[in-house]
Amino acid sequence: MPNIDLTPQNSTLSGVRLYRDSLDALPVSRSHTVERHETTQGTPASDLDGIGPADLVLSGSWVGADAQALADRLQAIIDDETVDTVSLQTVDDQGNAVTSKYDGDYRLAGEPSIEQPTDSEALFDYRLALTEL
Amino acid sequence: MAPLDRVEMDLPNGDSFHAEGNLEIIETQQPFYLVDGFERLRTLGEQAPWTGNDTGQVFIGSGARVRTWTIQFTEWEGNVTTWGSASGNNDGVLTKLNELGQSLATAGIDGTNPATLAYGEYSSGGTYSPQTVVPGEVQLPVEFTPDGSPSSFRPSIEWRDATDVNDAIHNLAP
Repeated sequence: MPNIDLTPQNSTLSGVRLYRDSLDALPVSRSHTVERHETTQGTPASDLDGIGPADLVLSGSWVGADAQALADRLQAIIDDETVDTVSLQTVDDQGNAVTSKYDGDYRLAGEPSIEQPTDSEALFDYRLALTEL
Repeated sequence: MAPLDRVEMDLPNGDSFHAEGNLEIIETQQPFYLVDGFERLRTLGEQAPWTGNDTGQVFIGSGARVRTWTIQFTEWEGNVTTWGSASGNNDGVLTKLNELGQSLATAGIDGTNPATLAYGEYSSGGTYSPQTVVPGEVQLPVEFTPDGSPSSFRPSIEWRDATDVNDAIHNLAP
């Protein structure tokens, strides 16, 4: 599972890295935009014609001395009402960009959450639902 | 340098306990694979006979692993050692037993406040660093002799490999 850098679009806010060692499985789903057995008109414009955008859920944890700062960064992104789009870029352990199907621009969806399981600042859990643009 | 031929347990409250008598150390390692073939059994050999058998299962991702060291040793009357807050401790058996139990119970050991386990090559003079640990199950049995005083005791302490979460594990990059 890759590391993923999440960066807010059109914003000066700092992004966060979601680390593969604590990132849960990445469920990706796409909904059909037409009813089953319905006939679509014309020639499909692409293989994804009639298929909705990808919904992606990112959930995991930050651990260690910087966990609080990472959680604060994500909270700032969530709280900024001018930020509704984020970009995802898969990176290796050295921070070099690598290509994966998760790369792209997404809209924040649902109710993102940041949880501090204990009073320790060394562990924060997060959960983000994103919809592909 | 030679590996350390005893166990040194340093607690975050400053207490240190050195164990060397009739020492027994059992290390365990248990992997938890991201995809564990024993949890998702497949009869691969039936559909893919070239695999040669249907007992080989699929394990992907070393995933999370847990590692423990269970330390057993004998501490006896008259053994002068580093024990608790004193080096050269020559307290009685019962006092030493209670010093160990009380220190373990009140030191507040966790990942933010870990203990250190040193023995063998896992020592300052060894190949590897001493291990950062937290206690698991602790047993501190003692038997009294017919005259009413214990002459020794043999504790069993499980130490769990722990990350010191005071370190920057997940850093701020990018």
